[in-house]
Amino acid sequence: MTDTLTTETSQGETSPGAVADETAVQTQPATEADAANAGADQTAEAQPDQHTDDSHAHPSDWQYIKIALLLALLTAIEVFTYFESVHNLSDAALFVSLTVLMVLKFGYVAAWFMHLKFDSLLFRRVFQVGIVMALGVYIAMLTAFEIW
Amino acid sequence: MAADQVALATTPQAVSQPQVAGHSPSMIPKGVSNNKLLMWLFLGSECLLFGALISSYLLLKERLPEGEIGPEDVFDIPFTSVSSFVLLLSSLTMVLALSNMSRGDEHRFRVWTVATALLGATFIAGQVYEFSVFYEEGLGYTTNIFSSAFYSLTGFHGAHVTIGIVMLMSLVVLNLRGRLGPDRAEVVEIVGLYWHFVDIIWILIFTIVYLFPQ
Repeated sequence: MTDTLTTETSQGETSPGAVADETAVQTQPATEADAANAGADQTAEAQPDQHTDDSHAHPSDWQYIKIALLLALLTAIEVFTYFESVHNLSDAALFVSLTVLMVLKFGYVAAWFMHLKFDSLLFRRVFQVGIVMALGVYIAMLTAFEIW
Repeated sequence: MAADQVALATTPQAVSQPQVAGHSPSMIPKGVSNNKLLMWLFLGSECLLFGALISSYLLLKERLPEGEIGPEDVFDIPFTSVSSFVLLLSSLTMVLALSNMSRGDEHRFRVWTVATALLGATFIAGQVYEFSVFYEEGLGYTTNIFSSAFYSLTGFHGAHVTIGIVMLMSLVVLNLRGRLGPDRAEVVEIVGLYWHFVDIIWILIFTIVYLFPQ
């Protein structure tokens, strides 16, 4: 596994069966042109994540506090919806409002506190696959209970 | 070309190149930590577990026979709201613990980590109290289909929070013994990921189970 990963080229190609000398060529830019290409590729990959190294450039403490205050505000709005005397929403409108608030809170925690906004795109993809599969489980259970 | 390859292969630089400069051998070329990736894979699989539990709750709740004790008979939303704020606050203290460890302030790391564990323990205490009140009101685990689904879902979440508290206290002990310092801040981040995931799951449970119109 490690060998496979460490032989990855700047283009993301792997050569697990490569002989040692070929591996050495792949794992270091042989020329200035190769190095430039590698840098360009890394930049292109890094842009969506801001950086590829997942141990740097996390938000400041003050930013975390601001996000927490926002989450507290969203939670307070959610709780207020429980008291029918402070709103006049139908069940459908209430359902939609609560779903939007829930998704917003979920997104803020995942993006800022779990650093998905800053970390490798790979982590985001892994988490998204988990969420999509969880929704698949729900759909499968709806089918099993003959809801359709 | 072949001669160049041989020359490159035999240079020390070529041999050491597979490891990204400045990173441990556990880091793969793009700077993605294997340990963090493993935690994310675990959290992805946890989505399936909680997806199944939440789905079960939603489907079984609808099949509650008329006259049986249901959610509207037992839920205490103001009390559970306070628990939700407590767990939300613990996510903030967790990121502050990581932030301080990354900066090398180990004393503040311990303070924030213990604070996170205490907030988690407060949440669990609230859950135990809530369960005991429900039980006194006649809602046992096997009372009806709603109670089984509800206790399974929230109980599993509570178990996750409890495991998280153990992990947090382990971090503090490791730090006090000198086995966890700023050079291993990633360990704190990985435990933090688990903790935030538990918080995210509660965000879903609180809205879907407690707040959605019954």
